[in-house]
Amino acid sequence: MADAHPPRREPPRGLVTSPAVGYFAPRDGVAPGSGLHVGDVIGAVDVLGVRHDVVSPVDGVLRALDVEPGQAVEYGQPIGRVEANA
Amino acid sequence: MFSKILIANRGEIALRIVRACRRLGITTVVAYSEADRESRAVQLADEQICVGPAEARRSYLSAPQILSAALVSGCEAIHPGYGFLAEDDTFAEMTRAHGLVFIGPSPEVLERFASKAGTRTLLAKHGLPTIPGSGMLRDDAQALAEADKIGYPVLIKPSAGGGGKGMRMVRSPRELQQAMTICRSEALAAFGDDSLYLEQWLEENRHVEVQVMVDRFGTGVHVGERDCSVQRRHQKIVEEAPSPALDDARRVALAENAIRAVVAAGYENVGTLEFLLDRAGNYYFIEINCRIQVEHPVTEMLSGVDIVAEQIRIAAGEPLGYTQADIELRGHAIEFRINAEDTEHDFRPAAGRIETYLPPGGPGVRMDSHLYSGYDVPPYYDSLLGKLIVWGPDRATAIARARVALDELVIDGVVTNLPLHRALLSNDAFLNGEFTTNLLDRVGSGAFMAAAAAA
Repeated sequence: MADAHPPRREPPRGLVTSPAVGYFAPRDGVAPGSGLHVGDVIGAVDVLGVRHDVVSPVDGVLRALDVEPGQAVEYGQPIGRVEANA
Repeated sequence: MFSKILIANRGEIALRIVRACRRLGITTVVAYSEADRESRAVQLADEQICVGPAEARRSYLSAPQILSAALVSGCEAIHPGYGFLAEDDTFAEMTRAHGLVFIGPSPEVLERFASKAGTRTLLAKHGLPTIPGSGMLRDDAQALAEADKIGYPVLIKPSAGGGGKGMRMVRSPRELQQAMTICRSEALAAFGDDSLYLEQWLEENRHVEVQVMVDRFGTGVHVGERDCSVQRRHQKIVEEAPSPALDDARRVALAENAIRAVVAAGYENVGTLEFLLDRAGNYYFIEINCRIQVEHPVTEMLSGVDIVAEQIRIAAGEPLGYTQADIELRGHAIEFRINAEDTEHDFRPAAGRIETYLPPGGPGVRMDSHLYSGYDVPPYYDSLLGKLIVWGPDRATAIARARVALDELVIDGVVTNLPLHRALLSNDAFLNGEFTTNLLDRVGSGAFMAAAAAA
């Protein structure tokens, strides 16, 4: 069907994704349970020695980190999940 | 030999490189943008890594993302394909600085051949006739002075890239001044570099190019020439080999001079030397492409050489292992570039879902395409959907096979330039092997197709 295109994948609200290709490192003190504001730095992806910040997409509480410190990540890869404040 | 390679490209060429690697027993990692997640190369590769969003500047053209992808996936080398980072000597240098191999000439060789004006001077020193032209232009005043010296009409060309962008033919100083501004901005947008130069314009010319392969030890062979005279606005549409415009003595002289000159000038890896051929049969070197070219399958059909595999072997430091005497060219091959272009609306590029894709087959028929039924052609990149290549023991057989194959090919869902290819196959200039590079633009592509339909 011509009109059966799947909708463009939009990340679910609160999903934290990698902004770059490289190695992920969480920010000191950030762990599941941490309270976060939108734009707060959760960690960084190291691209050839340059840090690309990974930030919280919403105000809320970090529920999970899916990536180990030092793990390689690709662009757009889910890194964690922030549960938005009600 | 490498055990794992990152392929930093998309579309049919990414697929072509995956195939070469599989044959060589090399593990493949395809670097892709978000828009190419469902592409055939990504499906077929051993590993895949998303390097950025659809926008090429943040994915296929982002040197840090591509290099980081190669490093985190444990690759030893990067194949850049064509376009994107393929002729970027800075990227080649960065690749080496990170302990990886750039599959192409070394950074030194790329730098030596980076300037088109400089390369003309270098190869002229090694015996190739070159077309009269200027050096890099500083400003309009210098452009006007150089054009006077060369004589109008002249062709304005960008130093950095190809594909017709930033290129204009002008017949007077007034046209030159107007076109310089347009060419500068086009070149800047396409290649990030707005330097231009001038070349004498040959009114009725043919475009003939020689495929070369040179290993790191200075052993080189040519694999014959290709004729790419069927062009629309400086973009190649159909390529064939051997050139119908050369007799055997001229053909051999051209190819032998080309390989002798590039080996002497220190070239390395696969490359293509482009020439213009005038009506009298004189040839003039215009530029060298230090990468695999879209039309390489034409030469593969004649020679049986897997040029992409040779490119990888040479980059890995292997000697060619054969000489010119081992290269045997048989028969005639023609390639048709199938583009997502609307021939009824000034060849406007198209995108959308491929409802049905049925490639043709049979003896001497090869289809290099990344399409499959249900594939979404993204709107962000070039419009090449694939290449139909036909081979026959002679040109007439190749043309007959092309007719059958073009009739058999089904691409539904996206508009294509197939009507132009069908028109070419009923055009006397093409059938007689007399096409020149400006024929389509002089007649107008629309009028050309209308004439074919009426005949």
